[in-house]
Amino acid sequence: MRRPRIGDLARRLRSAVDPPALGVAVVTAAYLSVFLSATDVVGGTGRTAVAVAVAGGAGLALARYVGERTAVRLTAGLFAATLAGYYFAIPASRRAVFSPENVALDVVSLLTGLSILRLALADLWVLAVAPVPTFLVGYLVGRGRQMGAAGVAGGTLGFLVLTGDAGGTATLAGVVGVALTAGLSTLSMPGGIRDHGDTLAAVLAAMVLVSATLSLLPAGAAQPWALDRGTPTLESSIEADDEVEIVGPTRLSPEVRYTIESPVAANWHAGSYDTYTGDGWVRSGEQSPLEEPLDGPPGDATRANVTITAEGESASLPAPWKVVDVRGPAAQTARVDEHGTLRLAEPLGAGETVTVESRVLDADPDALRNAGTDYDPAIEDRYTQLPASTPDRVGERTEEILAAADAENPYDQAVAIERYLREEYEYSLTVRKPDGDVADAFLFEMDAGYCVYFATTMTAMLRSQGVPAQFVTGYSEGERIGGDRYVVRGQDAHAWVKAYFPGHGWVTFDPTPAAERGEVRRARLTDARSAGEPGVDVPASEPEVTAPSIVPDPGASPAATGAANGSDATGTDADAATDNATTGADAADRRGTGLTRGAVSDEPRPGEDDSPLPSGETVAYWLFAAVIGVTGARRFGVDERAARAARLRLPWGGADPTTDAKRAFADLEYLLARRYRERRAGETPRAYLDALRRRGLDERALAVGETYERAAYAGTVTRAEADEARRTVRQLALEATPVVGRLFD
Amino acid sequence: MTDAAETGPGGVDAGGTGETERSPLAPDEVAALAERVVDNVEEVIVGKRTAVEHVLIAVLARGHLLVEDVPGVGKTTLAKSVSRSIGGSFKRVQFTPDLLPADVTGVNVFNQRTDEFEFQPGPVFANVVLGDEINRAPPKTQSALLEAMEEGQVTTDGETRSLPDPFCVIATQNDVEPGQTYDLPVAEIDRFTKKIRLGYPSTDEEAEIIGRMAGDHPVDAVEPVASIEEVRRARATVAGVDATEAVREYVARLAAYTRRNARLGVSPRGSLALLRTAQARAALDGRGYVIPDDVQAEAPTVFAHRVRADSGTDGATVVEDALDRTSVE
Repeated sequence: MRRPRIGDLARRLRSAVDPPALGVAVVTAAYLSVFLSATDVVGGTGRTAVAVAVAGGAGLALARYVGERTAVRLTAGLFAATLAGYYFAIPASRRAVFSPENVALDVVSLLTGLSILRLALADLWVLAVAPVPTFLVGYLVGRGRQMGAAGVAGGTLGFLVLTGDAGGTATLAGVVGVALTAGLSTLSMPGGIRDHGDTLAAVLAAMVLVSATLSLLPAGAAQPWALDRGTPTLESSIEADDEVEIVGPTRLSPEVRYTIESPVAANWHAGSYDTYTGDGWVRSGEQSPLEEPLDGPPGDATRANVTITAEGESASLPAPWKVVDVRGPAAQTARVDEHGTLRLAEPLGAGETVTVESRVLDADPDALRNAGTDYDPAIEDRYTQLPASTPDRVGERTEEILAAADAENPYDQAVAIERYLREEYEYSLTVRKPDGDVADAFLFEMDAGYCVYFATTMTAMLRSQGVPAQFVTGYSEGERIGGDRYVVRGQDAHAWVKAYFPGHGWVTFDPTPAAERGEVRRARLTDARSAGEPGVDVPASEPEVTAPSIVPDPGASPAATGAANGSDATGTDADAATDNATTGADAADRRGTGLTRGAVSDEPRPGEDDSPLPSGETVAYWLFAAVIGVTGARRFGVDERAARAARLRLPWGGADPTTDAKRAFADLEYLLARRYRERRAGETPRAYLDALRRRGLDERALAVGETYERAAYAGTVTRAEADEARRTVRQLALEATPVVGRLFD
Repeated sequence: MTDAAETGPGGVDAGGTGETERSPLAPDEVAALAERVVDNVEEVIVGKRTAVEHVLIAVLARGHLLVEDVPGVGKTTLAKSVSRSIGGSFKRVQFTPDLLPADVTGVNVFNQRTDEFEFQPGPVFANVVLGDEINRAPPKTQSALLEAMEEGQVTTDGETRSLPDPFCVIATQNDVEPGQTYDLPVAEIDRFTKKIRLGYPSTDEEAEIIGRMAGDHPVDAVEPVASIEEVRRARATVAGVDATEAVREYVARLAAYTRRNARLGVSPRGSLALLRTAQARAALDGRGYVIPDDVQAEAPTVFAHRVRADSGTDGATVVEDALDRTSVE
């Protein structure tokens, strides 16, 4: 093997900075950004970036020495090795889940939209997988095979698109990058880019614009990126399979979903989420079949048998936390996920009934205050996750709130945060989804939101203090229709928070202002009833039969109900009263010294969310439109003409006399070209002016020509002569445009 | 056969002294000088004003001139009258197939009285030498003249003698009898700064010519209107005419064009010749700097004979195309 010489290295470097490599860089950046945004959520960004850089560099370096066949084998070997490393990094207890059919299932579900965030140890998975294609991309770029490299990078990005992790922007960047590579490779002959580069730019910009504004796939994954996606129902946005994407405005559906017969009134738990992505929630981990009854909460718990009747097809099983067993036909296919939530493999049909057995935690506030912070490391690790990009001010603000409330144990902290959010923020279903971290934006920039915003923010705040917390979705208790029966409607869909207390288990907190939420729901139901919408009532819930208004949610503060029956702490109309009653002087005291939002800092409260600044997407949209405009204008020489036309007529600052005289002549030439004809290639200025003189050229132009000649060929032009030439040309230009000419005379 | 006729007032041995001490004329003085010479010659030759200018430019640009034409259109008269007008010596060599190099350069003759060899200078020792029908002489003799043109000196029997200053060869070549001529090789043709054709006069002009020539040949009556010294100073002026980079680049681009578009393009010597003649043209116009128009005026006579065009076209066409297509700043 020859030693590499400097010349070889330089040549390789040059081939690596080929224009087409630019396109490869764009695609590579697109898929790496997806990987790195995943590690931003699950951790390990630094080491993944290093691994990727090393792999890419190694590929580039090896390109010189290793044949392509060997390189492919090397890549396959690397892939196998990293996957094996990932497998053995998984704790042995969880490794049992990795049966061949489970792995096959995982691959299928990855390709059909399972986010990589939901994989066990997703950080390790990214660390194992991301360097492999990067190595190959580096290698192919080093070989000068830019299209191959773009293919590999595009394939990787395509995989991430299928998993649903690559957003519209990354996907678009990838497509544009591949097109850029193809275009620049085609134009790589000398002068190609200069001649057709603007066409390529226009095509790429058009790709971006068109994909941003049009979609051929109705309601498919290819949602138009720059347009409103319509308003989803609150229920649909939180009932998504394993991911909750936080959306903007939402609406309520008054249709009845379930009738639940339960000895306890509670928030009906449907799913817990552990991974916060900054703009949504993911529940990670595998499901396993329910083989024997689950354990109840570690603390004292009340047993409750609950019957759930689905009024429409339903994929989830809302029941009081924590369900330990299920009876009925659904029992055969019931599964349990890693968060202890009972899941249905097949949706319930309309009218189908399931009976579950729940153990509802009994714990009084004092016991919870004394629960300590001796968390199981697995739980602490999993449920204190926050994206690395979460702003520090979230934690700082939380500390200020806790300090003002004098909350020292996790229970008091949770109560303080819950109270702060309830009191300082309004309930509204019509909010605009903020850019960036939702918790941060809600805390600092928004004034109102709905349950998803409240619960997300509270979970993030608890986690910032090291308290294990999860984001929970399900339904609030709904309308009580006598005895132990509850009618649960779509509008009762809800999100809240659970915090973990060692020795007790998960305890519910609900930061959403209950009274306002209740009012909104009541109004929606009344509207629906008066409009005669179908499916709003079951026979037992019709207003003639029961009370004309919804029975208020049981008045209980978190402290009260949490202590009493472990159920959720939904607010009431008499929120303040019960609060005081249940927590006594303690609470009153806390309220007195409690922190209000205005007191936390002097920063101005931003107005409503309809800020006058355009969003990033709108700006990008206009930028791409501008690219098309500019390239089009350049294509037809509009910019040069405009600049020239303006310069001709406006006085301009002078340089040295020679340059000025030359510029004066250039302007004169431009003027004459429009009036008579252009100067031909081989025509000297003098010959040109002579020829035009026969066509009636103004004699003053000849003097400009003479001045130019001396400037260009003798270099003996004085300031005065140059100025004279400039004045003459400007005069001629102004005379050529009578209207403007009069303005300047 | 040598015909050493009409030694002009300048004398044989008007040897070249260094140009550096000579103060150049102002450009407009050069223009005036040229005007006088042209007017003076016009009294003898009818309708050959541009030809006279070409001759003058060749002289001022330190070059030599090749005139290609049919016999009898006034080549000799032109050379002789220009020479007389500038007060220079004039000699004519009629090239024939049996002409020897010594017939051109001169021979050492043994003088019995002094018992020494004496150099008898050949016709090449003059300010203006007319080499008539140069393509009829054998190559060896041609090259003797060409060496003199290139070096400005002559070597006989190991002794080197300087030629007069200014020294300008006007060679004529006829293309009517190709069978009996030794065509000048490309390398030699390249040494001629310019090549011109005189062409037939118009009917009116011809009528006037034969009217004038019927009596005495008027060329004998031509009086000098300038001195050799003035010509030398004018040459110094020409050498000092400014040619900016734009002009030099233009010349180089023209040359490059001919190289791209012909079998044999213009040599760098040709480019230099073009720049020099353009300088002379500028001085003739009373300008101290070259403009592209000067280059364009000179290019056809300076470049065309140096280009071997592809079949189906000729050098003149290639140069014309070069002028049309090469952009001027």
